[in-house]
Amino acid sequence: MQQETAVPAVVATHASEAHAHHEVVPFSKNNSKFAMWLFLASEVMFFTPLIAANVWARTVQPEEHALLNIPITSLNSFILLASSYFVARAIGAIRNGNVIKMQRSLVLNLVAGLVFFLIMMTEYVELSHHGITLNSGPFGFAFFTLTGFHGLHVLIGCTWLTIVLNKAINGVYTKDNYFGVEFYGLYWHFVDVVWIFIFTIVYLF
Amino acid sequence: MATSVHDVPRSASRPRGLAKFFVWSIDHKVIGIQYIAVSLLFFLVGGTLAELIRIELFTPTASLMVDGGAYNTLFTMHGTIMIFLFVVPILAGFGNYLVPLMIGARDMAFPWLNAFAFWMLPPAGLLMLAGWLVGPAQAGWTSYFPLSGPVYSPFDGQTLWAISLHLIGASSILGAINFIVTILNMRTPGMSIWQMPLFCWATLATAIIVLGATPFLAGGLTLMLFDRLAGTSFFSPATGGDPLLWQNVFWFYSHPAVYIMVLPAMGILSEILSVHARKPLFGYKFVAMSSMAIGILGFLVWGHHMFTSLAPWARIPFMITSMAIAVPTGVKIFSWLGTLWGGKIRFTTPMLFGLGFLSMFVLGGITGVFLAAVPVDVHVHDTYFVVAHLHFVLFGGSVLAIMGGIYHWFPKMSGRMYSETLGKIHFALTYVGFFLTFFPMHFLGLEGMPRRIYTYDPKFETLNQLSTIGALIMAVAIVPFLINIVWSIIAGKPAGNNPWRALSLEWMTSSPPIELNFEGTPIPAPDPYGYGTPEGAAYLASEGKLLIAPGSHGHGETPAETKDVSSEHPAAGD
Repeated sequence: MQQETAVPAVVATHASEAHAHHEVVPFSKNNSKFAMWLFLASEVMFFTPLIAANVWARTVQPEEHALLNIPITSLNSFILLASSYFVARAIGAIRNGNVIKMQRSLVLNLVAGLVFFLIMMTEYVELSHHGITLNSGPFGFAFFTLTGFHGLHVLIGCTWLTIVLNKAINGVYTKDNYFGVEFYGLYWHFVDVVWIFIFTIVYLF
Repeated sequence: MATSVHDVPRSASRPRGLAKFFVWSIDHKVIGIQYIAVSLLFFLVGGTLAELIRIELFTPTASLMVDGGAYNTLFTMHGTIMIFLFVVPILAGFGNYLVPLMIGARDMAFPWLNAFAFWMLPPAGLLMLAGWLVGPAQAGWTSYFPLSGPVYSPFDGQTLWAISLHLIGASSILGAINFIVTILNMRTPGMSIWQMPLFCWATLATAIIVLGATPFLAGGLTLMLFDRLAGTSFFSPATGGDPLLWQNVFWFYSHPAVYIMVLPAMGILSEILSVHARKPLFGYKFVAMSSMAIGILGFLVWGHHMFTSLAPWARIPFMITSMAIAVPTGVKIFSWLGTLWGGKIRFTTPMLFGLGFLSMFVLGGITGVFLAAVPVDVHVHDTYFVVAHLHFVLFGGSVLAIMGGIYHWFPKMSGRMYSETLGKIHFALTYVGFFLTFFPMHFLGLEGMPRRIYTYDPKFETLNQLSTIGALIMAVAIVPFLINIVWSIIAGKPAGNNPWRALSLEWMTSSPPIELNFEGTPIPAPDPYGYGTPEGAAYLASEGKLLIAPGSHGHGETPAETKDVSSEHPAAGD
């Protein structure tokens, strides 16, 4: 991986290498991060119609909004924000070579992610006791589709985190090589940021 | 190791020759041709459906169809296949083949992702066609609710339609990410962003639109699938939904999608006109920026598809933004005319298709401005006038440019020249057939013939018959095209590296290009359109010598200083 440090604008493959039998087309990690940012931008556009559907549902069924448990969800939002902090803490730790602190931060991140998901499920149960389900009307189907897809993203993040955590425990990440944590971190921050919009638009307004 | 994911090993033991196009390959040139070939197959399918539509409309009464439902299926599948399985992917194919070559890169930024994006396409196409096995989609390519809801479209074909579009969309999004990273990060040393061929600018603008618009459709399609499969009712009015919600979501995607379909075609045109007129492209920066302007404006105009269903106060703002699109488009048209002016025009087949684009796209663009005006639109809404407009921009624009692009880069892709005679026959038949098919539709629309019907008032019969004759001529035109391709691949004259004496980097390597595109690091011409300039002539004359020798690493032989692209060089050169 002698090309790993190449600046992105340079396609630095020597012609002599180009004729080697098992040659490698390198692309720097910066390309991957850039691609992740672009992918997350496309995710934003995926969530936009789902959020728009909620705004529309509010105009059709305004009274259902009162059933949302805002205190509990505020606490839950705080937990998700905290999980984002733990990712940032993990990256800061490994940047300084502190492997143990990184591992602990990632464990806290996983716990926070799962707790968020569980509290969201209790909210689903609570709403279903009030007769709000996926098929109960505009408020129900808009709410469950949006929060359901967000919850799916949280679960995907937790699965990915399990892989990252496993690598962290096995000592894959070092002071000079922690790309995997950063790459995952971008995704997790996105999951968090989308939730801030959902919480603001669906719950607080 | 985390890093091992980022290494793409290329073993020497892969299938060679034609076989390599039928297997998983991460070579962008193979993937590009795979895209183009698959899209052309779907072009034949979509074209056959179009011919059936025209044959049905030859007489005012039902002649071919058993019922209106069968006809609904025809235009639904024709529109969907032509847009999502022909025009969009074939332009992605050109992008895949050309962008790395044009910017002097060895491959796309993510070769594996590139192959993955392509291989989502054939299953998506098969799912779309599988609709015929379970009762196909009939709600039009726009799939308005409640037509596409479970009540009016009980068949599973509509569900397959949505799933297929989901796959195509995911493929496009992955492709767009790849294009943006490649174009911004992978250019060869010495190529500034202002030295990129305009096709790369167009692809960049297109990729940005795809990234902004296609996931929006994915969100909408997800809601549609929930409505059809999970018992929700976002869009069906009978059960509390709002069909306008779908219209807004759909057009927020589908208007930008119009530019996804035309911007790369405009990029192809910029390449063709400048090379075959031996003239520097007039106003390079304006053309590049107009692509970006169209990309941004395209997100602000979706309401003009809904003038009859939108709140009246929203009509005027959408009318203004829609008309504003004519400004960057006009910049391009005048830039192309300026390029041709005083050029040494060579009437090769690609040039003829390019000129065909220019003439027909202007007609389609002008009717677009008519349709952006609310009073006109309310009058001709849902008539054949809209059909005429759409086909003038999409066929007269995109498809003619695609055909021109196929001929222009055929020598590069195959290493052989095509037959000019057959190419010109193809062009003449297509051009005449196209005009005859779609021009009468303007009059049909103005006189009030509605679209999407299979029987009509007998007073429209003559114009419809002209239109059908035109469509049959276009069908005949495909024959010399296919013969030309097949025959030229087998027995065409060797093309050489640079048969058009073009300046962009894809011509500075062998035809077809070697495995990783270039021997050594390619150095771009100071101006990719500097035809007739001393720098351009020097660059062409020295061909290989301006490339860094294999193994060396410096910029020892940097060509003459970059010159501004402008109308400084009025004389055409060679």
